[in-house]
Amino acid sequence: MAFATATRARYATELDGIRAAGLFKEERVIHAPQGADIEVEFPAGSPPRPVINFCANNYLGLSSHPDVIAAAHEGLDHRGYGMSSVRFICGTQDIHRELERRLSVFLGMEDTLLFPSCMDANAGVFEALLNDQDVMIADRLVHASIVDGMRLCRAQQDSFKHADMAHLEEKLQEHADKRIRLVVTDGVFSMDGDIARLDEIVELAERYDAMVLVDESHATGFIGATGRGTHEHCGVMGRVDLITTTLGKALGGASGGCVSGRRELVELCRQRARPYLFSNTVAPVIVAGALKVLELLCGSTERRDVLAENARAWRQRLTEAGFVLKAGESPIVPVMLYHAKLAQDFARDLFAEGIYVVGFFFPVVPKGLARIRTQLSAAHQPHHLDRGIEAFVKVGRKYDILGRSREEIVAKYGP
Amino acid sequence: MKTREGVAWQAQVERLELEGWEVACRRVWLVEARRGTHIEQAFAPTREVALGEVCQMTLLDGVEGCP
Repeated sequence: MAFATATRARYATELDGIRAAGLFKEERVIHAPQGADIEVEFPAGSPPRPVINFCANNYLGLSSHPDVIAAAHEGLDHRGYGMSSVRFICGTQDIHRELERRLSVFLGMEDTLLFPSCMDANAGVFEALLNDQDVMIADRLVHASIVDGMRLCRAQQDSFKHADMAHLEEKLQEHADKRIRLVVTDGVFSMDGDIARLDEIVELAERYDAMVLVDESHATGFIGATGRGTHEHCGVMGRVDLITTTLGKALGGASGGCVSGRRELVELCRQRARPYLFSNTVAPVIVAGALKVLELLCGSTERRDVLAENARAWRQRLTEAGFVLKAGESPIVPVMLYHAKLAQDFARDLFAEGIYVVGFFFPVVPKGLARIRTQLSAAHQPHHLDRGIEAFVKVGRKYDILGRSREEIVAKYGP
Repeated sequence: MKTREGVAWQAQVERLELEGWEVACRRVWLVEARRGTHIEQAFAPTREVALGEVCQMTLLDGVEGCP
């Protein structure tokens, strides 16, 4: 059947429904390299305007770092543009293996396997390692890609209340009869910015003979004293079985992801993980850039330290200004507004003030917990933070929410 | 089972067995939860187990999450 008029109308109606529900996602076009200062065209067709970016995952400010760009150029010159093959046929270069080796060293794991993205790593890892005699027990706030990966796996799915160790223990006891128990968590949770209690999770896992998988996408490169991640922050390096993480955020922000972990588990992913087997891997130009990123991170913690200080100062100043924040210590700082329309209006007004942030509301976050997720970067300088706070305070005054509690904001704007 | 329908499914079983599968057919409960266009389904030998699995999946997928 061709794309019949009735079929077109059906899809158009569906899109209208998304718009009517206020859930239509519009891309804002950036006319500049990624960074703290960017030029954004929004609404579509309007002239690009300069704004300060507080919504990128560019945690270490490496997306447009000159050394990374130079290394990528060199990679392009020496290893070409594309591989035109999956890894196990003729799509593996020396630099792919070198990046896997260097990631293993950086993360403190035995072996690593690259994937086209961390979304692909999470889509492939569970099905490759578990079967219907096993169980996956996930924190209820894990990333959507983990949920998707678990759905592709025949092992039983279960969950524990967010960060609730007593509930996790109950679940581990309940599944004592399973062949393998795999506890699954994010290292840093993308919606709330809180850090997993990984030390307690690992202790429980060891007590109940379970494995632990951590998605470190919002942690690798900057959480922990030397940026190794949540396992370093919580003092459990060497005791986590599997890490999935991304090259698409702090580590240069281009694309690519990996599974890193116990040698046998990674090798089994190399044999069975379908996104690895049936898709080209990361392009040589990105591999070359990522190798430079790791070299920079191993040489100095300066960027990680600047980021930590920016996040601390940003949290403190927003709190002093009277905003309600989600508690935490990561560079993800959610400003709670609770009401969906308020979050949208607030983000729009901040954009008019030259501050680029995005409002999140149901179904991205639970109902009644709408927010603006701000994300700090090592690329932010003091004047960026000053300007950001100034704009937040101005818009906060307009909506009369400064110093207001959750109950007062909900009473004023509705749940 | 040699009913008209039975012959059809028996042929399918035989084909699978020829390909090396061991086939078992048993009755199960199918539990389905719908919200808008979203569907969660589970099947299990008892209604309680199937319902429990659907509950777990709705909990895991309660929100879309941030990228």
